[in-house]
Amino acid sequence: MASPAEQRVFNPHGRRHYRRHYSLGEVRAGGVVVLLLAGVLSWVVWMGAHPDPELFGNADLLDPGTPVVERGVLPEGLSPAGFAEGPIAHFGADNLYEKINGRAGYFTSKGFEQLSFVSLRHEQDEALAIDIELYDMGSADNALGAYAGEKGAGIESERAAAGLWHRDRNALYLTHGQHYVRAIGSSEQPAVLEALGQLRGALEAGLPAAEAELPWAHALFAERGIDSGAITYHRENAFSFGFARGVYSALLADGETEVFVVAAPDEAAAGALAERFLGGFASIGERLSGEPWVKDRYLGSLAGARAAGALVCGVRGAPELEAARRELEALCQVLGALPEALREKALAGAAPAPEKGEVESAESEQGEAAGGYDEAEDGYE
Amino acid sequence: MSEHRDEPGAEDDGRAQHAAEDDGRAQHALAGRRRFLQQAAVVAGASAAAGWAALAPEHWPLSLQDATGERGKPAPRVMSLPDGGYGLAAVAGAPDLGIARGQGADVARMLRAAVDALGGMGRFVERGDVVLIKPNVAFERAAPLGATTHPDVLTALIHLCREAGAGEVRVADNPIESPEACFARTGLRSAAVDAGARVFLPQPADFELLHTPGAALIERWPFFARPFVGVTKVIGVAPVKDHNLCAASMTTKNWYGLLGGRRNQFHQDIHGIIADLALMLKPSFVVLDGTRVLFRSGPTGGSLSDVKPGHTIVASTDSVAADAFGWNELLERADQPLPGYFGLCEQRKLGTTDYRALNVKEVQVG
Repeated sequence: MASPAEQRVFNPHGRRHYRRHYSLGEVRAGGVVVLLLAGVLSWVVWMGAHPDPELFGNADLLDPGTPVVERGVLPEGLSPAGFAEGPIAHFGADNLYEKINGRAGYFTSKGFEQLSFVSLRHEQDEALAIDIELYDMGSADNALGAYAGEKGAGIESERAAAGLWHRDRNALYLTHGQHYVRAIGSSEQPAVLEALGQLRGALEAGLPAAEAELPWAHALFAERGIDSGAITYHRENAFSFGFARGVYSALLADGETEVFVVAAPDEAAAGALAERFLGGFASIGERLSGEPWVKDRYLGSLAGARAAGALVCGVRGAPELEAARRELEALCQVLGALPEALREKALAGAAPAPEKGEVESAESEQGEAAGGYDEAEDGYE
Repeated sequence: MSEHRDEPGAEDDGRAQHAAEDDGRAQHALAGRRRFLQQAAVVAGASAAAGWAALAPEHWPLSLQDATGERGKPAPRVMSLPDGGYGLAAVAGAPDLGIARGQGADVARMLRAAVDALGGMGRFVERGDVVLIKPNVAFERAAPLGATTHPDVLTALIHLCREAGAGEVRVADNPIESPEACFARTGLRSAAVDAGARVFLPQPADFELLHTPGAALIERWPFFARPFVGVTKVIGVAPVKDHNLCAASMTTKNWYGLLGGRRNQFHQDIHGIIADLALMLKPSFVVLDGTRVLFRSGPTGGSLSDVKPGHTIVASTDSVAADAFGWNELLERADQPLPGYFGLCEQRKLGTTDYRALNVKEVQVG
């Protein structure tokens, strides 16, 4: 017969009470244990209510504090009188959306590299603030391109130390070399407006710039009476043409005619590029026989391009052929007379036009990534 | 022993006793064997089951193999919003679009007029309802810059809900920028709290997978779920904004602020995601805050020059219609084709862009 201990191995009544009685000694020991536990609990509660003051002697060890963030290119001493800096934050191309969701694509398409952000709060009135968004666009061309794209119609730009600037009610817009700055005031209160004025000086003095001169095309357009602030820089995909990179354009006073220039690596490349512009325009228009002009089949406007040395100049959106010819001729003349230093600068920065296959491949990838979005643009060429 | 031999009867008794003992022993041995066999079978079965569970390949039934560690993760809870959303049954003859216009008029009066044009807040909110209001708090911008819902409109909307007997009014949004900073800078937090609403700021644990049948991009996607617990009515209130990618952001795009996860990827198919948002959340009604219009540099804006007064508030049971009105009459882009998401919403019968064909009631305030 199996002993009771053996039977317990597979005891079907595992919770059965086998001890009906406990010895007095066991009861006493149990009581002592319960008392001990109650004592420990009481001690914990009492200590919780009466903490040792020395625990807080090194309170700074308990404070995680604010992580130190490098200033990057943000100038020291940026805060105007009466304002104090908040925390600094930096954003790259992969997380720019965390700061300007929905607007990030605008900057990344223009060569964005980094955004440095800091908010300045008025020390007396918390409702008054200025948010400084400092965009490193990689080059002065890109910075000016981003600046021009955000400038409202009818606003005149002024020459800054190494770029352009303007004030628009509660905001200051400035380029300085490869940097584009938006300083956005919370209102038009005098304290904010005064601070914006001081900020411009601090930014211009503190920001680094490779050179103070504006890109070469600005001088060229200036010869045609076009203000620097009206010039748009298309880093890539100008006029929705995949091959068109590094194009400067400006809308003329009639509000319809747009002139453009672009540098090519050499004369042969410039001739080929001009032909590609014409081919692009012809995809939505009819080429005039024997002429470098295309008439848009929908709008009836005229577009043309031609090479002048290693540079290409063009006109698009012109309502009338003779005026377009005159404008193109004048532009090419200015190009021909471009000072040698500027010409060298233009050629030095000329991006080789992508090969046809490269453009098609890039556009195909773009289309896949976009999931069919922006089909109108893809279909342009 | 010898004594037993001397007594023949006792010998018989002894034999019988021995036989009985032998029989008892045999029976006991038999029972012991049976018990042993039962226990051995249990042990063998348990061992075989444990071996199967431990060694069987991952895809076999009852296998506990977890080579990648994926099976060990807890299965996420998948939630659904009520069938038909939070919309109410159509009332015959009731307006679908209430428009209040008024230059310099009090915002609260304008909102009341727009909602009254729809039949009054009592049509939508009943005594004891738990109402969730979803404003646009997307950016850390001051209210006058037009990138977010105006706090005065939110205040007025909460008051209307309270007057109609709402048991609780909640305000929630999930801005990509710091939620605390966005709610504070826009003035929407203080507006909500002062008007007696509860503000829900998103925390990681507040998100659950939402199942939206028929959605192309967000059939299962993290959703800001905590504010929706126990909610009976949902109202969206959005500003009128230019948008860099989808051309215009109004009441339908506003639901984007309820998504979690890496939602920025949806900017690759912005029109598709907005159509999905309209499918995801069918509100009780929406309010289009056209008190001012961010007509360029959207959705962030920045300069006061990008903002113009709109002097209009629209209330509608059809968010697509409200947005079409905003596109035509507040952004003043009637000469341009509607952005792609309008067509996608119409294809799915989530609203109409032909707002003039609806029952529209327009009132002038002040």
